[in-house]
Amino acid sequence: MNSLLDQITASLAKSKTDRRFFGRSSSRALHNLTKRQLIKLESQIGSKLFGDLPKGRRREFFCLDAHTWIWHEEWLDGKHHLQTQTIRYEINDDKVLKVQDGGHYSYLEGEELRNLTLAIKLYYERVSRELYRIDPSTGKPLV
Amino acid sequence: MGEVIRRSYDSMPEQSGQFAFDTPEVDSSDRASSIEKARLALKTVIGAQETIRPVTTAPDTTMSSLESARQEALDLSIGRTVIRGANLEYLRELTVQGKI
Repeated sequence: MNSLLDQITASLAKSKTDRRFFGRSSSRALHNLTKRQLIKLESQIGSKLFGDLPKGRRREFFCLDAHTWIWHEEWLDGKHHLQTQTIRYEINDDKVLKVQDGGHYSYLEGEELRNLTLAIKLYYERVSRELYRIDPSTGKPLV
Repeated sequence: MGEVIRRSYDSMPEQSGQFAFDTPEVDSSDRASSIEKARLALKTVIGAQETIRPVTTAPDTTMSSLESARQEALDLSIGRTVIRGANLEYLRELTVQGKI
């Protein structure tokens, strides 16, 4: 993912119009991107919501669609083998189903549920402001 | 509805009182049986009064209502989560179309 993100950011930086994105004005610089690329940019913000990562570890956290959120981590174990963990959170009407690797299913509760809903709130606010340049509470463009 | 219940509440003690204290027969030959009848009748009165208590009592603060409040907060939180997800999808769509 890093290489694709690097390509996107390099591409944006080269564009005269797109320099505005790195400044402060609008999200117009993004409109040449696909939804998938936008999600990857969102994930770059999402991965930072939980603090710094140890060296050699990579994290993604993003909203896949209205009812699905993804947590993904990669790291090298002691034998330099790549290890991964992916968790899918499915938002139902009154519960959140956690689906882990290997077919483990459980409903979120307690602190983990509170942490997830807080992370989603922060994600929404930061992505709206920093990527789409939208005020998250009004839905109107930031001045 | 509340007025109907209140009226029932006001009239209940007299009616039930008659039932409670008139029905048991004080019979010296079978005193234990009479006491038991009185006890059951009194229990009926107390039970009847307890059933109409919600009209005048303070809000219930038992664990079940706290749990209910927690569930309500959770539902709201999850509802907002769905709305945020839908909003993000919408923002992506508008961005791809160059509308924002």
